[in-house]
Amino acid sequence: MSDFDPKILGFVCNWCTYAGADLAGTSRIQYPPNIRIVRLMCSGSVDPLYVLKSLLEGADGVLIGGCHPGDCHYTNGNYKARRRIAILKSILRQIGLEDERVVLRWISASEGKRFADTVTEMVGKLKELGPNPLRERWQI
Amino acid sequence: MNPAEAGPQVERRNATAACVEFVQALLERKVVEAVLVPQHVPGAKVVVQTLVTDPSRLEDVDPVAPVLMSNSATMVSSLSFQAPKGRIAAVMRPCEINALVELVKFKQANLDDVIVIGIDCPGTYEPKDYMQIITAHGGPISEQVFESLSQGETPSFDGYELREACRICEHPSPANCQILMALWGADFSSGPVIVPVDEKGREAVDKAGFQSGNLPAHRQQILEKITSERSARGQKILEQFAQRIGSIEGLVDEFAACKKCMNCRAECPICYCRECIFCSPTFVHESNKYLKWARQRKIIKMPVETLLFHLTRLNHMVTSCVGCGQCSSACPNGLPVMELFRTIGSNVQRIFDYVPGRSLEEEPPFTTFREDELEPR
Repeated sequence: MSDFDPKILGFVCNWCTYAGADLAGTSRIQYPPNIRIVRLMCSGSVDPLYVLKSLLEGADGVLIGGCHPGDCHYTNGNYKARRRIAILKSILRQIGLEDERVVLRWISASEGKRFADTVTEMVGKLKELGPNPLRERWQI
Repeated sequence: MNPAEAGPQVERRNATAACVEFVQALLERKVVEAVLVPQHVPGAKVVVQTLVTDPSRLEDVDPVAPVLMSNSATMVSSLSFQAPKGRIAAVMRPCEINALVELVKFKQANLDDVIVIGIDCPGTYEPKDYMQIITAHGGPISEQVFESLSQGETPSFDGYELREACRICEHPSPANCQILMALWGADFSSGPVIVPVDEKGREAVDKAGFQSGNLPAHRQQILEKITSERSARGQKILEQFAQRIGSIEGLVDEFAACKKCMNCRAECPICYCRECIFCSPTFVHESNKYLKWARQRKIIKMPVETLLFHLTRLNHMVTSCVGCGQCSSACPNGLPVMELFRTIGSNVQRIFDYVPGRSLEEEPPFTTFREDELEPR
């Protein structure tokens, strides 16, 4: 398992987490290069379909990043995301897929360190969990 | 049983006619302009929903026929979402009303000018089974169903079982209707008891010139017995199913025969999107994409995205699934779609203490949120 290099897909909001990731870069904070970022306007615009599609296509983990509660640029998109992800995680658990593969985290524009720590933590956890079992299936 | 032996014809007419009389009175006395009511198609062995404006066109009405071709919540949605000029009454089963309640909350139906007549439900057969049963009996079987209901028993016909969704249904009696047609424990020869449930219902019953009946004495006991039998079965079936899909391999095996015809989605009363994302250009992939997937995986199942389809549909609407089972009935390959949605649904709905169809006031989980709930805070 030591040579397993997890692939993480990140759906991050334009206003907070994307800026946080940018700050991590401009501050030259070191973190594992395992994440590919997709910028959306809001965590509330993440359809669970995006997360499922990522997992079925073989991503080992998915990060959804949004603004802290009360800070959403659209007032309450992050609260809606929280409900959607809670439902998604419940479904994943019930079909035997580790729900730790999906992480929802609030990361503000000033939290470059928190973004880097989140990715580092996810990579560690995913190395423990091993590759996404869906990657070996015929079904996409 | 041969129809000639099925008891006196007069009695049979009385039982079914009592059901029809009320609907007829609603039209004759202009309480409503139209009624949506299940009716036998003359010459064919099926019962379909009909929208009737002429009281003389109710001769084949049979709301007790134990078959449900499709969930009529969708029809009431089509009839009411633009608030038509004219009142309608709809005779509906519990699962249809539950679905309608969800559609109202999603702003897909408007009940201002709709009178929902809820009818006690013994359960339904698959349409093809129903056809065979009435072929064997030489005609409609409503009188036998009436008789079972009056005795508080689930109807039974040799060699046939009710649809699994009905065998595990906890709603033998409707809620959220304006008028109740009570059948459980009712007198077989005189037909159902008509009971107004709210003010709107009372007004309609009065205008139709009907006395509101008293609920049969043993009704509550009967409902408790039926409900507990069915929930016990449901618990067992769904626990076994949860085990079977409790691993990715299990889930994939259960749904291996899915060919993504999407009949389950077409028949689902809750899937109300006019344009489903699975029919949108999002899922028209470039030809090269398929080869890319096949290169990556060495082998892929065609058509692609069958598992994604079911998992996405779960995420999108399982919170409001009422368990009517039309998805399973619609599946050409007999996949356990209803079992999947009821198993996963019960756990997801519990997170929000939400019961689909329970109340018009409770907000569906996706339409609201609370600041102090769930993780992360």
